[in-house]
Amino acid sequence: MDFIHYLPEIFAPWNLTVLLLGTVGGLILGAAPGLSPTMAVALLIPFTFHMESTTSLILLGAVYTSTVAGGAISAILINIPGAPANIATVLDGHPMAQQGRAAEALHYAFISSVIGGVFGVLVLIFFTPILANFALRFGPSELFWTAVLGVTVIGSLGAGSLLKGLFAGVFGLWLSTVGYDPINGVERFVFTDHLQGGINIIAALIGLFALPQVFGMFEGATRKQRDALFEMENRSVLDSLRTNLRRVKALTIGSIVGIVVGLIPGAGGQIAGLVSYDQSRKFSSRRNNFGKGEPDGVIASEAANNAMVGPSLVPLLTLSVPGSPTAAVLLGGLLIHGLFPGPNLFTTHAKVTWTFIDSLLLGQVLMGVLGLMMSRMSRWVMQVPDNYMAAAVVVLAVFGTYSVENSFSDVLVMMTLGSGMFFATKFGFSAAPVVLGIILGPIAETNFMQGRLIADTQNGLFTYFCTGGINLVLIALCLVSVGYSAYAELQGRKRRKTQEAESWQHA
Amino acid sequence: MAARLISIACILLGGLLYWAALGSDTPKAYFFPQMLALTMAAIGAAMLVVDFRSSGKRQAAWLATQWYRIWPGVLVLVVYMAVAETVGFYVSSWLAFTSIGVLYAPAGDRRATVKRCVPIAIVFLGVLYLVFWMLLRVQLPHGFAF
Repeated sequence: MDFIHYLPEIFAPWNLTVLLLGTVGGLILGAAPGLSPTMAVALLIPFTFHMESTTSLILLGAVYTSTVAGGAISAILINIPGAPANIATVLDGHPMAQQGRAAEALHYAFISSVIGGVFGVLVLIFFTPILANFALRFGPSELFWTAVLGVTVIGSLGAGSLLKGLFAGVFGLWLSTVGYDPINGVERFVFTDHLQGGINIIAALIGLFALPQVFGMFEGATRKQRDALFEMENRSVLDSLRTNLRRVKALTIGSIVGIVVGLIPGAGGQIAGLVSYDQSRKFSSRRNNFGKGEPDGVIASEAANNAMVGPSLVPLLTLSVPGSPTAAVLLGGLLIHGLFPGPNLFTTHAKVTWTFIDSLLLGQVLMGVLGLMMSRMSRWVMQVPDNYMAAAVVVLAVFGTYSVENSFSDVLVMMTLGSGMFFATKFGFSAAPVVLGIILGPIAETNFMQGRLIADTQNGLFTYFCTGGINLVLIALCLVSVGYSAYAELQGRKRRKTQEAESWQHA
Repeated sequence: MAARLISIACILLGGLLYWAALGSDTPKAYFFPQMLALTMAAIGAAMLVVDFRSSGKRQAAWLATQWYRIWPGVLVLVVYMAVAETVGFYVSSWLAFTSIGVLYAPAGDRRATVKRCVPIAIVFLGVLYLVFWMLLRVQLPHGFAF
């Protein structure tokens, strides 16, 4: 029971302070519409660069956990989800607030988040070492296919269009080849001095996730009309806790769906929230109340999006394949501290890894307690106008990127990638596959080239890369993720065509 | 039509990156990027085929984008990047913060907006100075004006 052995580490004064600060900061950032958890963690990474690795991971984990839960505040009070993971919370949370039950909805959101979140972290605790030991069997070919699987899954499941998602993922892989070749040490694609040494992962993370959101704020800042804030009723937390615990079905569905979706690489909290909301409605005896202020809607979606957090780190910590876009950013945080996913994390770096995982468990509880205390106050954060928010994010992005390596070239790369990504999003491309490509690129290339050398001495490239149990399973998973996305996209098109035909007939 | 142009651009980008990886003295170092460039071109071609087969009625998001709201911000960022090292990170960041804050303020009295935005920018940069210089010990370029 390593996780119990390292539990006292979190209670070291500095670690506990960082955990508290991260949780409070994450709740505030989560409550601010327009600041997604992915962007919050990306902006925070440069600040952790100068910290000890354990402390920095505790901070990043606390912010990841609490931004997801904090997003429920704006979803319930002003009908704008603080993060994509809270989209389903809007559906019943906001109607509850309109009925004068805002405090009750917020109580359900935080209590369910804690319950779902704790279950999720327990899955992380018990599954990760098993999978990490299994990963010991991985050689270059398996590691290459694992990297390909990461890009394929996030490219196909995480984006709107399958082909555009895959293109973005491959482009990200290509971006990772800029700079020095990992095997021969040859300088490649250094078209300008600013690209010497390659593309800094942190600069890329900040640019690709933060700048498109800034441009989005530019677009809507002067015209956005937000709904009025609601006065909060007085309601006892104990009453809400009792009611919440009685809603076992919604809590169970939310937690299970969140855990399963979290384990699927690339799926993320948005899918977890929406799927669990839908399943909860299907299994509910009060299904007609859904969408009109039904507490089960809030409970299921919030339990799911926080239950997803822990499991999304299982494939990340064992195979370098993140379970969500925010987990992809967290992978960048691990790499800059010299921590490489895999079995070594649980042997050589056991103290750092287990303290981080334990902090996630305690962080869930703290997030619930602090969230319940702060929800009345953090509602004011939502009134920060977009113009100040955009200006603050731009300056933070510039300062943060510069501070990583004291390089202005990194700032220019961050700005260029971010601006380019904004234009690309307008054409249907998304940032997550590009980021994952940049992160997994060196793993894919190094293992592919090593595998090629081994294959030359054995039975050839095809036999080495495309035979063997694990290789075949990984290739099958790549094909399944692409096949499933293609099927879902075709079904969506058929549905749209039918709807269009029906609307023509009505006209 | 726009979707087809995007697909063609993707094919061209793949082709361009493949071409950039040719003619090196150490072809081994360029093998992996060449593979990626070809994959990009192939995905672009698949996108083109799909676009030809679909009705193409959906409007691209870029057509619905109100670009005139974005360009002033882009201009601020370009100027910010151009002068940051010469003028100094803190002063240029303060100017960028104030410009964005004023340009994108909800409609109303401009003078009042400027009066509100200037001190907010000063406080924000003050906090960043404390965090980066006092706490993280990061030396940011001071330029001629700080």
